[in-house]
Amino acid sequence: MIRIVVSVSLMFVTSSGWSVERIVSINQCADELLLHIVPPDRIISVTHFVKDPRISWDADLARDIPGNSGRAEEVMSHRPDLVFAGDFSARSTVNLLRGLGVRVIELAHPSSIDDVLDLIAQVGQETGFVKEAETIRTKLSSSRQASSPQTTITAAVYQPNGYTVGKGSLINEVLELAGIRNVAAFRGLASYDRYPMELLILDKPDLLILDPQVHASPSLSHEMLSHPALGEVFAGARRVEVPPQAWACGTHHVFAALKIIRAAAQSVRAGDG
Amino acid sequence: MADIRLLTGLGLGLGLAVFVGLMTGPAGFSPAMLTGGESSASTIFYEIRLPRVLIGLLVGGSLGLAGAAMQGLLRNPLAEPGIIGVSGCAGLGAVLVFYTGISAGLAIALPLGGMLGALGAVWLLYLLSGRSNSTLMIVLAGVAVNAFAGAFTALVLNLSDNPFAAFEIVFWLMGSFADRSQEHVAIAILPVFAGWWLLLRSASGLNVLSLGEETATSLGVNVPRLRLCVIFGTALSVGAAVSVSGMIGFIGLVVPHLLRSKVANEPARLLLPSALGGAILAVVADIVVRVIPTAIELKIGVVTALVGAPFFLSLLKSMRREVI
Repeated sequence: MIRIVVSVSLMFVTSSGWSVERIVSINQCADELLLHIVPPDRIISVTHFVKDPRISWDADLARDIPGNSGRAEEVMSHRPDLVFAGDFSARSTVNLLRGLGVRVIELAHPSSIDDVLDLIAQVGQETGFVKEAETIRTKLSSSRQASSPQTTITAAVYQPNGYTVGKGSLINEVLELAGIRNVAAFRGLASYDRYPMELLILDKPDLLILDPQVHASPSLSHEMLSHPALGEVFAGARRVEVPPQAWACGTHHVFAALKIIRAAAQSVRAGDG
Repeated sequence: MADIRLLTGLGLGLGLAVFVGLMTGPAGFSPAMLTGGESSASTIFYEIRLPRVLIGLLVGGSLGLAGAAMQGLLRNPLAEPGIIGVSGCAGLGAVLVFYTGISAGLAIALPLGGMLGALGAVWLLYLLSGRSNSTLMIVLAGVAVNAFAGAFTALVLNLSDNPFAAFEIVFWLMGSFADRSQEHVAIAILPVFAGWWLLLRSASGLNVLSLGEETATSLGVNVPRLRLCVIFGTALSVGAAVSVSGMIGFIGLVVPHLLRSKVANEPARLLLPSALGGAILAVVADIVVRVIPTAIELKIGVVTALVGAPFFLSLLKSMRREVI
């Protein structure tokens, strides 16, 4: 009872109604949405990931906000009114926080652009910044309208450890919007699925879409993306680099990926013609 | 010579394993792969499948041969690169070199890191077990060295700021030949062959050594040199192999154990068959992980441990008296 009284008293009224005062996020994708919807003084802590420009394009916005590693103890020390987590966040942390009486919102990983728009609305509603969320939604909806004509160009996304995205994924929809056929979806692969390198080379799409080959620290997962077999089959304009900041999270940044892929498709078409 | 028959049999088995290994994979097999008629088919064959089988030959051969040689040197059937911590330290050496970015600039640093790690482990083991050849001492020292190497490997991986690194502990502790390239074959092949040469050279000495160190010395065997030969041969071959494949356990235990009776317990005659047998086991285990329909490909160490751990137990049982 006391808890409810305290948390209600911590919310206060803004121009658009009530809003939450102390927000903590333990999920990078929630961080990015919050940073664009909610004023920075309401965000008490974000993840360390979003503060790293190699991982997120919103590092600048998050510069002055303390980072956390997603542990319950850190979260509690910030005395949050509202905690945002992802559906991949540690179950034990989420359960512990809820057990301590903290309101935790778990954001689902979006599997379509509609989902992204819904997420933005959800964050707006939960935090009380509905108008701000609506402004972003309107802007995104209009850039989505400008879809490209369907082409015969094929592509596959290849991610560290040989994973790809197939049907029912946000990235698949981005490819469709660019007028490109996703060979992984054609193969019946799931939204996040292993795509053996042998099959990728057998399918031989026109474009291979991967992370840029610049990494601060090496890993075997990334090393396989520079496998000589891939270099032999996908050279020059057939190799497209989309920075992970654009679509590792499903936020408005996916439209940057759409732009890159559209340009690549155009240059391949020009090369063919 | 009876060994010819054994070696021929093993050679044929290896040929069959290599053949099946080259035919097996998600893209199936088509004759175009060999002729290069269609470029992507031959890329699959020569750049993905062939290196996989070649790494299997190098790694399996090294583990089998080094296992047999170490067992001869320490006069102990439990001396296996994985059990005594040589593979673990080789992995640690490779991990240190790889994740700090040194091997990104200098490819040969990767096998060098593995070899230095392996060398450190063999040396440590030799210092610890000394001349006692106590099975208990060797196995316990291996437990400690493995625990240290595994923990340090995990630490290095977790310190990396690449978020994928921490999950790669599975590769280093269980081993895999998946998606390895000709570049990996190229950096490992020379040190592996050099190691094999050293180990095979020690054959006659190991035979005499089975009579005891003093007898061997009196019969004209240069025991310190023999020891160095086996230590460096193991470090070179196992170190380089592990640096491109991760740790794969039990091959060096199971294979010599199965073959020992076929060569009348003579360490010298055990070496070459163990190398062939190790290569067969590695290539076959790699076929098994490709055929089992798991969502994420199984690591090879899982297969070899499923086969090898029961062997280890039965071996322990048979030498129970000696151990205690």
